[in-house]
Amino acid sequence: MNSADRQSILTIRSKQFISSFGYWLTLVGYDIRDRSVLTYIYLLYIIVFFSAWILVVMFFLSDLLANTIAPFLAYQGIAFAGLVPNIGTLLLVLWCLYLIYKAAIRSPLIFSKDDAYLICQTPADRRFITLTWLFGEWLSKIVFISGATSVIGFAFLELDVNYGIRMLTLGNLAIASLKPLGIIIPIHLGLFAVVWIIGVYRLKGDTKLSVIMRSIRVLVSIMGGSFFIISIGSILNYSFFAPFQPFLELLSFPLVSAFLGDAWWLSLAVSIGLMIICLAVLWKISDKVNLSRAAQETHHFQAQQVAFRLGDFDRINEMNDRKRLGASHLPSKLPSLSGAWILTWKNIVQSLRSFTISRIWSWLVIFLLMISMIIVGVLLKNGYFLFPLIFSWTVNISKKTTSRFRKDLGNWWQLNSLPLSSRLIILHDLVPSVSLTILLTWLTFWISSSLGLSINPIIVLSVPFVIAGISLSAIFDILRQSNSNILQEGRSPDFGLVGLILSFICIGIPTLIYFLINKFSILPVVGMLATILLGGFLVISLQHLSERQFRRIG
Amino acid sequence: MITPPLQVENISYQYGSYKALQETSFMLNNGEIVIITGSNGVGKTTLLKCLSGLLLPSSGTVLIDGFNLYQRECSAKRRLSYLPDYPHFYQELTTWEHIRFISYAHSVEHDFEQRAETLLSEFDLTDSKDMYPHALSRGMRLKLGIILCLIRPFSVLLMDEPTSTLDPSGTAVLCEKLSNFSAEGTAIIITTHDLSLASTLGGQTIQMQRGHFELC
Repeated sequence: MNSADRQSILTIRSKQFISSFGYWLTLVGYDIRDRSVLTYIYLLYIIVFFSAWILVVMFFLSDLLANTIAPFLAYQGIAFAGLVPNIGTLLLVLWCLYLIYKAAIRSPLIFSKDDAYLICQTPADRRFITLTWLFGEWLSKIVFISGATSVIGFAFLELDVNYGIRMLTLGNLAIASLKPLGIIIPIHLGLFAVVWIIGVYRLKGDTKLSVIMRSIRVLVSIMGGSFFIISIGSILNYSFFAPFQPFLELLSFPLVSAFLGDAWWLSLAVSIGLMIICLAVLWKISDKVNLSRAAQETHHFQAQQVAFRLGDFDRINEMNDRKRLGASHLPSKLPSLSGAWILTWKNIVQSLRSFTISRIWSWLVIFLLMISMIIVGVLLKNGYFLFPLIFSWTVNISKKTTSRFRKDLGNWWQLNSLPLSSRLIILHDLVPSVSLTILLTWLTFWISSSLGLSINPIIVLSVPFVIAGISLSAIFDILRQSNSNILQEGRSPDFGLVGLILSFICIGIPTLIYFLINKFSILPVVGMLATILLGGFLVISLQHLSERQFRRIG
Repeated sequence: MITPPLQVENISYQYGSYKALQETSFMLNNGEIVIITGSNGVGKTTLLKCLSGLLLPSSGTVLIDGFNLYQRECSAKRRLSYLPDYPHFYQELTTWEHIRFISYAHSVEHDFEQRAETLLSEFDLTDSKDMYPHALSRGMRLKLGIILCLIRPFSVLLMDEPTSTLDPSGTAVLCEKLSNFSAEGTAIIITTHDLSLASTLGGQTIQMQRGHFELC
């Protein structure tokens, strides 16, 4: 492989790295493409601010850890501090076994579809690519590990249990952080390389490998379970686990010496040695790794990662649904009627096919929020807690009741070609979920009444109008933002601030009536009548607005 | 006087300040086929989107069998069929269920199964009738889009690059179908880069240039 090839691979990898780093910078308002002086000053400010912030958070966490450990130290002596590295070893080994299990199923080398064409098809050195990808992945993981290591180091310094340091000076803090890092970093990289060795070995494509990989998965599961039981038993000092003590001590030796300072140089030499051996083995076996196979296995996962980073949860759900649906299905036996009722048939078929536990969970969230609102509003009479609950309930209802309509909008070509009025389309998509939400709300009222928490009849009566109003507000806002070109790409916008404001107006009206009835002692019948008239007016108005907006999509 | 299936009056479309489609008026009589060609980005797809009601034009009206597409939408859409260049589908419905959905939505459930089976067989999709759209190849998805367009009743048929990813046998079947529909009185507009399609169908070929074209 010539240096130009290496340079190209490094360029692609560094671009990917900068792009993912740029994502975090975008979140704090920094644009990596802007080269003005002001932006550089802002970058400097971001670096200083977040360095200080991270340091403060680390000190806070280390203080919390030290305060948690301190009473045990006083009671059980300094040997108790050794438990922290033991727990660390347990977590590290379990994490490593879990990654090995995963690597025996899916490639640790993650490539996008673009990488599949740009890199995997080229005759570039597989060893170089493997190691470049390994370091890229490892760097993103080590940041968190380093932070956690430093926090433990600071806590031990505060507890006065390591290196005999007694002063909290900057130099001592640096030693308390760097000494454990010196051992943890090579160990982590070594373990990471072990995981990759399994993954890369599997990507060599030998037919016998499937049996080996299955055996590895079984072995790793047994090892993980056994190690967990032995470690916990040993930490809790059960005599049955005493014979395993030397083995556990050997395993936790690097971490104990990293944090408590015993035989630090020896531990450093061992961890660096292990790291070099693991990397060398990886280098040796990765010469014929099948990158196309790696891309085939991981491009879906990579696309999900990107969608997650962009907050595109619709895309993630879509990808998961496709995976779950598989390739084919026998035709639905559900009888269907012609005309607009076919929309209900389609909705039922779609709902049955995309049914998951998480979909029940979202209904349960609405139910729990309703129960919480009743407890807070009726029992505790606490308005401060009630508002965030109402807000969350409104958002959840808007999301849940409009999800089918948004999916249909994403199929704009077919939806637009139907000889059905916008009213029928909206109603067929909305009525089932709105009805279910109303029934769920009335159920919570019934449960509350059974428990002795009486709900005012005006509130009970206003439920259908409020829920229909919230849904139609969200629908109107979605349609308001919709554009034919975006919809034809299969994307539909989500509701925003306008939808929320309209929803709160729908909630506010019955609340206002309830307030006025109580304040001026008006007959409840008048309040009920006013609720029906005003609620009905609002719902009909929103329906008309939504229909008009639907026709104006262009 | 017989109402022409498609009448377009002063239609234009602007993306912001860019005029993608210049003001145009034309009409198509029963059985007429028009093939629109032209370079990428001249406005072929924009024109078809405006004619199908997917895009609301900046000015002008479209009449399908005398029904205004933007005012009497349902009546107009009962007589109009449109195939986009990249058709999207419901991911939870199979090929067969898509055909059923479109047929029933257009209230043409009578003989639905027989007609659907015939179309699937003609476009070589019988074996894929239980497959989800995401499991179909690009060409197969286009064939499904074509079937969805042809299974419903229509007097105006608009197709945006219908042969772009079709295999030769699929193209031949489509050409035969289009000729039959034309003979039965359907007005057809097709945009394509495939010049041989025009000679096969025998329609009028029009070269579109920068959002402008003229139909004699």
